[in-house]
Amino acid sequence: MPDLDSGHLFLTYLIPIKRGGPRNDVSFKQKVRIELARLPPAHQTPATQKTAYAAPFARNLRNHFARMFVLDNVVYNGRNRQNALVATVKKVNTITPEPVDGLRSAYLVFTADIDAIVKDGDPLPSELSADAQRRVRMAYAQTLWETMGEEIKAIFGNCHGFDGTDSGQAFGAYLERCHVETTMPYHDYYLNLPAFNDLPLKGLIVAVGVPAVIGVGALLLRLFGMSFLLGMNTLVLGLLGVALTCLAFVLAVRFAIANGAKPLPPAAHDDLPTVLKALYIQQRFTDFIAEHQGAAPATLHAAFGDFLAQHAPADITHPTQRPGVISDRAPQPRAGV
Amino acid sequence: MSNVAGKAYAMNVVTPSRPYVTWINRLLFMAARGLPSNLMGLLGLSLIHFARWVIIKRDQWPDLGQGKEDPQNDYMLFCSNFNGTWDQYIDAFSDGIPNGLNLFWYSATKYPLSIPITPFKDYITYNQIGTDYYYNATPGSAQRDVKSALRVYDAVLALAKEYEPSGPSAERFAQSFRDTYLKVQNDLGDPGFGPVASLDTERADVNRLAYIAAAQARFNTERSS
Repeated sequence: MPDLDSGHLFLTYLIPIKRGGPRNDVSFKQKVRIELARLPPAHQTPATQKTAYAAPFARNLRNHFARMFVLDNVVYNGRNRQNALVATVKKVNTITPEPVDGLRSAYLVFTADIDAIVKDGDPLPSELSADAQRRVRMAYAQTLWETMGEEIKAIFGNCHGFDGTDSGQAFGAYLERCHVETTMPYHDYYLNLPAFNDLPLKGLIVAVGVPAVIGVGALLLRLFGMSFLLGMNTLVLGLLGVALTCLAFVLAVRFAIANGAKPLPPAAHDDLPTVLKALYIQQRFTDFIAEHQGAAPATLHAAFGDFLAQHAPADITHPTQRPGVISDRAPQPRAGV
Repeated sequence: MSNVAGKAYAMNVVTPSRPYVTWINRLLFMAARGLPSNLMGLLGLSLIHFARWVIIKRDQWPDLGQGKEDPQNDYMLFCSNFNGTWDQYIDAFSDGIPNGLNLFWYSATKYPLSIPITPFKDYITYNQIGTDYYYNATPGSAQRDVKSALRVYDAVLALAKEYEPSGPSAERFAQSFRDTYLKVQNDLGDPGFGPVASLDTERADVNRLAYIAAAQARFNTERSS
């Protein structure tokens, strides 16, 4: 289940937007875009720091990143290349256009990189069953509903099948219908690289290669007139070898995919509350160093005691940096919005 | 629309893929995760917070009553949260892991390969979808900034363990402090703004404030009622 990696869920949702629009109004697709434009961004620029409102995704402590965009349609990159000789032999009429994909609806694409936890304070997991991942997704949907339910209704109300969604549980069930599994996640906040799930490539090559060599060799011998080798029929041996090669190849592919799908473990301080605390401590410790350059050991010792008492490094909940702001000292959104 | 949130850039690329070879693409992804030497190039770029590749098979488009999609192709959605400009990112990818990129987009229709770079950039441009809303929990910090902060945090936690509030430990603590300082001296600093994409972007941020405030005031009223 590659949705889970490094203790995070890489959530991907494709939500179909209603076609057309309300009478005398812009299309549902445009209304989605309008609602998304109305959402406060993080306090990330001098201009956005002037608003009192926090980004709605900053109202919880699970989102590292989130994004939404409208996929109007899929992209057509032009006619596929083909060999002119082959096209001539196949009598391909190059004047005739190729079929071009078109989606029935526009889609709202919603992706989020979240801590894979059910409740705040849980440690990041190394592994989760499919059912446990579903519980994490449901808990995340519940959190979104509780913290930004009005915004969700305004955005998702323009999407197919959302009407009547009136609770976090229902919103979670709705998102489940739109969930698409992530194939290849990537994340790197590792201070020390993790133990990777090494693929025994040489072993797999041998497992596929040995029956292939035996099978092909036996068939070649048969071709050159040798019917028996060490008392075995070369045709039977050849066919058996080819069949075993095919079987080994399929099993090797499935093994490689299953091996790659195993999640990597979380990094040491990889959950969002700890990342925010680390940013806070980095700023404060930098100040501390600047203020105590050349201090006598006793002064330094006493000052560090004060530092620990004031900033509590081991307590990731307080004091810390809020999510969605440049730094702890930058202008902050109003509490609770 | 904004692809930028603080120091992070949101890239979304949707590429059509030949359905009869997307299984090979999936195998290549999973093999890369099992052969870490192939991931080292990606890890070495040190400019991606989170990224994902999603193969959307033809029958995986959700049907919530709008009708089943019937595309000829599978599609691959690539979403990245990276630091730096769009050009820097593509350059880094193309220069740093050209073959890795070619493998990751193995099944993509008309993918021009990552070198030479101009057709590659044209391809990404043509297949990229703009982001309508982008949230970053740590907008003041690039990926390397976050890792720097984690290194400092790790070191401070270790130093805190050595600290004894009383006893004749001041001299010994001072030595530990100096060792810690030497260890993290390149990781100190403050978060800050990302580069402003353009004056237009800056003005758009300002102009949207009233629009956002009106919407939020309405939502707050609904929330409290």
